[in-house]
Amino acid sequence: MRRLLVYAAVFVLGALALRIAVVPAEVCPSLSPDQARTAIAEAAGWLERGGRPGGRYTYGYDRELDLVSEDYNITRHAGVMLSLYQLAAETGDEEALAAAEHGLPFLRANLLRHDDWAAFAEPGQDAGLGASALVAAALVQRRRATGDESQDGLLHELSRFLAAQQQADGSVLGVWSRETESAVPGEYSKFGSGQALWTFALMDELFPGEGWDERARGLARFVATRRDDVEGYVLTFPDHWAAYGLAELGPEQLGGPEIAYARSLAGILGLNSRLESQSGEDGLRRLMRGEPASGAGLGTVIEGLAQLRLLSLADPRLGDLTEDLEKRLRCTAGRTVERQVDPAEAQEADNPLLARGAWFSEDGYTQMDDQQHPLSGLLATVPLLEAG
Amino acid sequence: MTFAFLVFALVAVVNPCRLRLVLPRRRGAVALGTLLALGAFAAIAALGGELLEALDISPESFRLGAALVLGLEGARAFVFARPAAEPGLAGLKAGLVPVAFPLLLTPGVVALAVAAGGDGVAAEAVGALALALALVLGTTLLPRGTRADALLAAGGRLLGALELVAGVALAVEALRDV
Repeated sequence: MRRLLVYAAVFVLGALALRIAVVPAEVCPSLSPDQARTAIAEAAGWLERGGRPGGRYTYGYDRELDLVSEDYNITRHAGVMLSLYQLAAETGDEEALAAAEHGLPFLRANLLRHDDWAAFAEPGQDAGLGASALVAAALVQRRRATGDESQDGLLHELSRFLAAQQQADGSVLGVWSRETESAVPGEYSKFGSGQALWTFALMDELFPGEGWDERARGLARFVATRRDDVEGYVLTFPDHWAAYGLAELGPEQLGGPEIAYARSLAGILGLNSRLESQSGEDGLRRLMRGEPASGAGLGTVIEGLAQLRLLSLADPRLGDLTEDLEKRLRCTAGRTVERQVDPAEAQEADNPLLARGAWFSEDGYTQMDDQQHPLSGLLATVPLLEAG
Repeated sequence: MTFAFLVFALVAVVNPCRLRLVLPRRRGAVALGTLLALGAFAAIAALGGELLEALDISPESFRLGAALVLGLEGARAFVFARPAAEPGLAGLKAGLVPVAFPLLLTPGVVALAVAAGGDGVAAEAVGALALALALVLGTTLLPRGTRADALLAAGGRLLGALELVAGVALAVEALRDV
C-alpha cells in the first residue's frame, strides 16, 4: 500500500512539475479591432513625437533614469520609416506620413554610392544589407501611400545594391566593404536575407518585367533550403522578414521547398507565440520563462504570423495552417496591446510623452523598434480582428 | 499524431518485454488489468481535449510535455531493464493493482492519452493501445527462465530506447506545429 501511495505521489508531483515548468497556462487576452487601432495610433504617436533634427528619430528612452538615448542605428531608422509609411498606406494617416517623410533627409545624407548603386550607410561605415533593404521597402510603402514617383530613382539605386550583393546561389551577402570596395565573402546579415527577399518581391510588384522576380525567387530558394545551415541555425530561424517576402511573392512564385519552409517558419513562430503566452512578469511564470518578450520581440512574432496567415489564405498548400495561425496571432496581438503603456499609465512617468504608447523592457528601457514592430504587426492583424 | 506513430509509441511505452518480468502469474488478472487500463486510457483520451482547454494548454504545447515524459521514462527503462517486483492485491484483484496501476497506466501512457485527446485522435490512440496490450497478453504465453528473462530484459531495453525515440519524434512534431 505504501508503495502504491509513492507511485500516486510521483504521478501527482510529476504532473505538477510538468504544469509549472513545461506547460503553464497560455494566457491570451481578447482584443477588439478598436483596441488594436488605438494601440497602433499610440505606437505611431510615440514615433511621430520622436522627430529630431537632421531627419533622425528618438532612438531610445530609459524611464527609470528619465534619459533619452543618444545611440542611433540606421537599420532601425529605416524600420521606423517603413512602419510609418505602412500605416499611411493602409489608413491614409497624414501625421504618420509626415513623420515618415521626416526621415528622408537623414536617408539622403547617408548614402554610399558606387558603380550604379546606392547603399544606406553612415559615413566611414561599411554598407550593411539590412538598412538598404529596409529603407527600399519603406520607399515602396511610400509609393503606395502617396503615389509619388520622385523617389523611384533612389529606390532603384538601393535595390541595385542588394542585387550587386547577390551571389550565384541566390544568397545575398550582408556587408560591402569600403576598404576593399567589394562584398565581404561569407558574411551574411542576420535579418538581411529576409529583408532583401521582401524588397525584391516588392520591387517586382511595383516594377514588373525588370527581373526582380528572378532575384526574389533565387533568394527565396536559398533562404528556404540553405540559409539555416549556412548561417548556423539549429532550428528554423524565426525570420518575420522572410514571411513578408514569401507573402509578397505569393503562391505562383513559390515552389515546394518554399512552401515547406513557410510551414517550418509558421511552426517556429507558433512556438514563440505559445512560449510567450506562457510567460509573465512575476511569480513562477517569470521564474520559468524568464523576462517577458520586448515590444520588438512581440511585434516581430505578430508580423511573421500575420504574413504567413495571408499566405495560407492565398495558397491551398498552406490552408491547413490558417486556423492555428489565426489563433496564435490573436493571442500574441492581445498580449502585445496589454503590455503597451496607455495614456493613464504614462501620466505616472517622469516624461509622459516618452512613456505613452511605448513597450518597456523589465529594466525600464524602450527603443524605436519596440514601437515599430508592434505597429506593423498590429496593422496587419486588424483585418483578422475585423472579420470577428 | 498518426495511427502508426501511436502504435509505435504505445508499444514502446507499455514495453511488454519489461512488463513480462513483473506480471502476476494469473493470466485472468493480467487480462482484467489490460481491460481496466484500456478503459481508463479511453476515458482520459476522450476528455483530453477538454482537460487541456480547461488548463489553457494548447495541444501543441502539451505534446512537448508528453515528449519530456516519454524521454524520461524511456531512459529509465533503458537503464533499469529489470523492474522491481510490485506488491499487489491477491487473486483477480491483481488486475487492478499492480497490473492496471502502476504497471500499465504509467505517466507516459497517461501523457499520450491526453495528447491524443488534445489532437482529436482519441479513437486511434485507443486502437493503438489495444494492440500494445494484446502484445502484453501475448508475452504471458512466453516461458520464464534465466535465458528467457535475459532476452526479455534486452527487449525491455530496446523498447526503452524506442520510447526515447518516440519522445524525440513527438518533441520535433511539437516544435514544427503552429
